[in-house]
Amino acid sequence: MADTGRLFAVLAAFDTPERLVEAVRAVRAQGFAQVDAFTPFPVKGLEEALAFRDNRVPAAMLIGGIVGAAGGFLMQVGTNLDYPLRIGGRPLIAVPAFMMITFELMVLGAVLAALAMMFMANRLPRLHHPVFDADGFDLSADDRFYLAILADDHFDRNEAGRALAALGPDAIIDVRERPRS
Amino acid sequence: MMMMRLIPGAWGDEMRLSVEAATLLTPLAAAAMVPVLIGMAAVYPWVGDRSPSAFKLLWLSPVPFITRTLLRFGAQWWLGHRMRARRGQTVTAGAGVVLMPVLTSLVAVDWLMSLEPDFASSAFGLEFMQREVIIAFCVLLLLRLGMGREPRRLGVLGGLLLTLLLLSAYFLFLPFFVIWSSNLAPNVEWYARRWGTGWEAVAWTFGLLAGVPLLALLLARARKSASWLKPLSAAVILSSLLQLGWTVLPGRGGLAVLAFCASVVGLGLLGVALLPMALRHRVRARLPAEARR
Amino acid sequence: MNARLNAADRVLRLPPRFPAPRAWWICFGFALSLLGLFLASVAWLFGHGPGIWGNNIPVGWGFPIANYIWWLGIGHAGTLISAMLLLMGQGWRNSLNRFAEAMTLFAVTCAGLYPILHLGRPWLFYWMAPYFNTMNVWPQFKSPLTWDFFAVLTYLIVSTLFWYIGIIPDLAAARDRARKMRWKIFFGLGALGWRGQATHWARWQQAYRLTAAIAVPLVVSVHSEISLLFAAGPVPGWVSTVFPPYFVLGAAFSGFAVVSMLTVWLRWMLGLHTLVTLRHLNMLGCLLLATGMMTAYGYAAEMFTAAYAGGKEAETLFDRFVGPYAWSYWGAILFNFVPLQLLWWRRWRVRPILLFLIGLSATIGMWMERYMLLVSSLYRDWLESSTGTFHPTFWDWSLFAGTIGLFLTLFLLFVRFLPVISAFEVREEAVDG
Repeated sequence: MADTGRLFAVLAAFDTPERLVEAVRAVRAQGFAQVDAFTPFPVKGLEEALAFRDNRVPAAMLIGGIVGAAGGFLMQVGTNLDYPLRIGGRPLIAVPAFMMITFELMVLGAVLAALAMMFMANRLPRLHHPVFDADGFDLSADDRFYLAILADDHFDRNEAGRALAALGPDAIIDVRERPRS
Repeated sequence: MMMMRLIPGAWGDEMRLSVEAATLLTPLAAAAMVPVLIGMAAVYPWVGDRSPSAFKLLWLSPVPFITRTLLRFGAQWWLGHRMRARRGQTVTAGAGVVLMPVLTSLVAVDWLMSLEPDFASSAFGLEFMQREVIIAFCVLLLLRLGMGREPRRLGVLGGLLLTLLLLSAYFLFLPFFVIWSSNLAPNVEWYARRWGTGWEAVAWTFGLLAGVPLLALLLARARKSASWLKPLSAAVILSSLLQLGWTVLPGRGGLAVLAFCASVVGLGLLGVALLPMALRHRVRARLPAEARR
Repeated sequence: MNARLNAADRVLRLPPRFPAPRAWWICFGFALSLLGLFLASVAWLFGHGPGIWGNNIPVGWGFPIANYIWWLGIGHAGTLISAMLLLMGQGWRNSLNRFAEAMTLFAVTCAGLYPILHLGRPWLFYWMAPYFNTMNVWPQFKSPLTWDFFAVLTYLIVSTLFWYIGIIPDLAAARDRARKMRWKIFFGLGALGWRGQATHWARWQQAYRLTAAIAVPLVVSVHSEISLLFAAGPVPGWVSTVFPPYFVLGAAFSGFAVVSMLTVWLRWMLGLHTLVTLRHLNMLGCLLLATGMMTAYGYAAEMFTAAYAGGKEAETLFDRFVGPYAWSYWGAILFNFVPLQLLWWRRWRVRPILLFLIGLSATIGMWMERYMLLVSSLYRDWLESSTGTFHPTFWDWSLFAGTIGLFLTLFLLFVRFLPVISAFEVREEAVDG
């Protein structure tokens, strides 16, 4: 069944994280741009090897925090102006008393924004993905670290296959998308 | 210093020699206290006052006061000595982290809180310690950055400074907030005096001087660069000193302000002069052992 | 290294092939019976109102609020272990953080129920939230009770999310490890399609570390805020500026005590000796000792300041020493700090049974402390007219035992069905050496 769909990527399996990182460097040096990896746990040095540069998550957190804090503070000011409650001889807008909720909502805004951005940027959640069909794909194994060259429009299966084979991986696997029925 | 021994990590190695050097300055700090002890009657309103409660009468009288001060410096010197000798450090450090906060809190009450005998705040000792630690840390950071090669893991030290600043904000805001909320007489008056003409500006200044570094340190780049950390820690030192003045001085007249500024500058200069000397002394003391290895 | 990898693999197989079914069922049966007590108490409460408890004027708070603070405090340790030690780069936390965080969730659940049940009209609890309503009123934002609502809600949401994004990679691994279809579906749905892509990991790490970084101040703020329930009111024995840090440390202390107990118990029941080694017990002992001694500092500072300030504060202090609730004061000191001193010696720290007992003792001690702070201040106010003692009733105790049952039930379900230790982080650590 897997032979019928469009080619998604070519995977090469390595048995240690160090070999994977080396292989990523080598493949990228040969000019492949669409390179990614699949690992059972975060591998040190892989981000640098892939030249990962994406600060959307920290940025989302900062913006979420600012929005949360401002929203929290203004909510308290607004409701106090709308329905004045004069309590204990405090000024109507008692800034020290508003700090607690401002802080809590800042944290809430920051965390929600960061996590939402993480999921959106990763295109998760999803029920299925082509790599799950790959033979032996198993995130619970400690000796399978996959290098992937993703297929794009001018992708040459043979060229990619040769480049991967030169690295001496344990296996080379074609990953195809399931045909839509 | 003691904490360093107990919490393993990169930061200890980076700062070790500087910290050891700083413990050599204990006698200087003790010496600075001598004029205060001599002029006690002029400084503290409770000397000779027979009105307060029995407990206070007993607690705040010259002999116990001097005893506690001596104990504090004695303990500091003794612990510093043991740590410099690098023998039995875990035990010493264990004793130190129990002993020093207690003694320091007691002298914090003696030296500063009792300046206004009606004010009683149970977080005062913690506030005081926090301020001490942040001043010490910034001075040592500057010393470390000014001398020798750049620390390898500067980000850790930057992160530590950020943590200390957050803690400062916490210890500054919450006692105020508790007292503001309950609104009970003697303690609220203490804050009211510190919010009067002039002092409010001081409060804003030290708030800004610490607040701007706090925000700046949220950026990873600022935490990792020596050229950022230098001005930031200088600002934090200035802020903490201002805050100290703000805690101590209101209601004490212009002369006290002048005296405070003069003594801070004088002691600061002395410290600046002596610290590098002490560091060189430490480096020399450690050299033979390392050369042998 | 290989032993640790095998052990990590075993964690993933725990749910489908549970090693200790009998022990689990015995514990679960016990937990369920307590849960039954919880349901009965709540049903009785809904039928008859809070009058079934000992709460009355002047001690209007009684058990519900004392227990609420106690549970919430326990919860904080999970976040602290997980987030603070992650930021400090202490790898040994990887064996403890998952179930410590689960403990947080369930303890906060128990805590959150208390103020709602205490309301009298619990079905109107949403009045705390600011929403547009036909009455045209808003919550009173200068009250610690409103801050509390936001603090606990934020804390519950953030700690749930933190725990969940931490467990996703393990669910994915368990999905790939499982043989039976139903386990594959169960874990697969939970894993949200996680496939370990490198760019995903990079973003995941950013999000996880940043959430951890903000979770630590969150814990501090939440429990400081709880302390303001006390410290912000002009009640003798409560207006103490050391309360916020003192409450936070006390919370961490009671939480580490419960983590120690759970660690020893799980290690024994599931045979996790390769992952939870003597080193972990040693470190837990150190943490317990450190937070315990800091809590002791809080006691000392508060006591000293009350004596120093004199007046009503000193009277309350004296009353705590010898008054009708002196048992709770001395009990707190005894249970919190006396057995704790054994932990100065490594020899005692690595004895699992002893660590368990010291944890238990500290848990009891901290409960007494919360009780003491609450009751001994409320029952004698500034005014002679507003005095009156508090005596817990059967329903006070039954609801308290019931929340313990709720906690245990949830925790046992977690142990049975989800990976109790962060396997991927253990593996990462093992491979990095």
